[in-house]
Amino acid sequence: MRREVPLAIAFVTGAMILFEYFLQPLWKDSKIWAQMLQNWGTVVSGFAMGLAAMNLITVNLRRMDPKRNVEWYNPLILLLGMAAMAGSGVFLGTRSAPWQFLFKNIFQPLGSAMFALMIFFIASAAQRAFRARNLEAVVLLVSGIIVMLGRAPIGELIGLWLPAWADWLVKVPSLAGNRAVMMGAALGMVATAFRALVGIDRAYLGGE
Amino acid sequence: MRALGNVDRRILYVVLILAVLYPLIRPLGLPFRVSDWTLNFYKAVDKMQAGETMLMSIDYSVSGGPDVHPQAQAVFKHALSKKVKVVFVAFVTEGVEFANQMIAVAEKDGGKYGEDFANLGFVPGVEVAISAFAQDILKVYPKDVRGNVTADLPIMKGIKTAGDFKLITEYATGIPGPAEWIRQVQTRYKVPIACGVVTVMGPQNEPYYQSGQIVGLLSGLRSAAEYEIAMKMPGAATAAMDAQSMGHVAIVLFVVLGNIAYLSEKGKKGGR
Repeated sequence: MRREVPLAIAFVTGAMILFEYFLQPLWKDSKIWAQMLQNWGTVVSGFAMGLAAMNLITVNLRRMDPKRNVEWYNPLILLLGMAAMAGSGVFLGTRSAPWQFLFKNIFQPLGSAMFALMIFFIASAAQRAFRARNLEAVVLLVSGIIVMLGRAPIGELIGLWLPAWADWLVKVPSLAGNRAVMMGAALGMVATAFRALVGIDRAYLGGE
Repeated sequence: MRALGNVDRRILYVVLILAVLYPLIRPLGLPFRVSDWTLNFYKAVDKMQAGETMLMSIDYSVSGGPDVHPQAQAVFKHALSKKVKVVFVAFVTEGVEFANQMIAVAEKDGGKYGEDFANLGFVPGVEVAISAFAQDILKVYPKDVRGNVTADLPIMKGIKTAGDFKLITEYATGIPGPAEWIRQVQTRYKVPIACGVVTVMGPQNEPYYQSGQIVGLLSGLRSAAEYEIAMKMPGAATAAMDAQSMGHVAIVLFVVLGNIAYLSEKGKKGGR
């Protein structure tokens, strides 16, 4: 029963949503049921966020032991940050000055800084690893340089042919590859969803 | 030559910082054209009539914000200049605050909350939430972020499902992104969708643009700058373009120098 009940719930829920999406004219009330299930989905997701927060707290409380973890202060900083952000939001509201200060002056600049720091890693990695070792690498290298320069304003200054070549690379070979990957992934998604729906794939239940 | 291939990374970092900083201090004013991706996004907003309602789904994280937020700012500015009403939603937690920041600026400029724009807030559940929202907005969002009853907001008059918006614009740095909106909203409600994404997501969403499933596509800061140029209102994104250009040139230069060193070393070894 520990497996059969969740499998039955998954099958009925999935089948209802599928039925409503594709065959709604056959059973008008399916819309009401599907809508209710999806609203439940958002509520369950809300609880999942709470569960994730609890898990984060538990794991990091354990990691704060100086005997086991030399960098015990990292989880402490994380928990303090979490408490400050969540506490000010829950008790004072997200329009309060403390929460606004934390978001605008700490969270947002830190996020932007993380994004901006990538350019240094990219530059360093590109300089060391982007080598014309064989024909494939040469093609990749030339394409990369054309797209990088052609998609920035400097490309138009070098020559109008450069943005045109960059556009061609993005809109023809790159697009063809992307489309193939998307279609393959979509077919895989349908197969995986079907396996989960009929209970062949039970990985989501945990265990083996 | 070997030294060129093994330049100390700190030197690379300094060169890169200088390359990006210089044009920010002394703008070069490099010209750039507006791509068809951006132009079609601009046209979709521009052809809306005063009083019509547009949805803006703010689904980007703070880390991707510098690349996507200027796009949303430009589109919102454009919509307000056309007297188009804008409803904000978010399926990523940070999206709520980004919307609040845009609304705060618009309120300072005389816009009225609840009439010209409103922020309905965040709902968890990603694709399931988007689907539930599309079917019955008032059920998923009974109240907005300010605690107002959503149904009582003047801007929500006549808006019950996603199909009641004239245009939906989605801004994303990951999931949910254009694919989720196309699957759950565009396919079912046939409402036009235009998307703004972080630069790396641009090429992977191009197939949706070519197939006509999205009417416009903004990709990164460059597209935000193009949008500002299309509006004839150059702003922060346009100002950052020179810095982006010089950053690209610096990286290309590093790659070229690295390869000259590599090929020269290879030639020497081959000669021996």
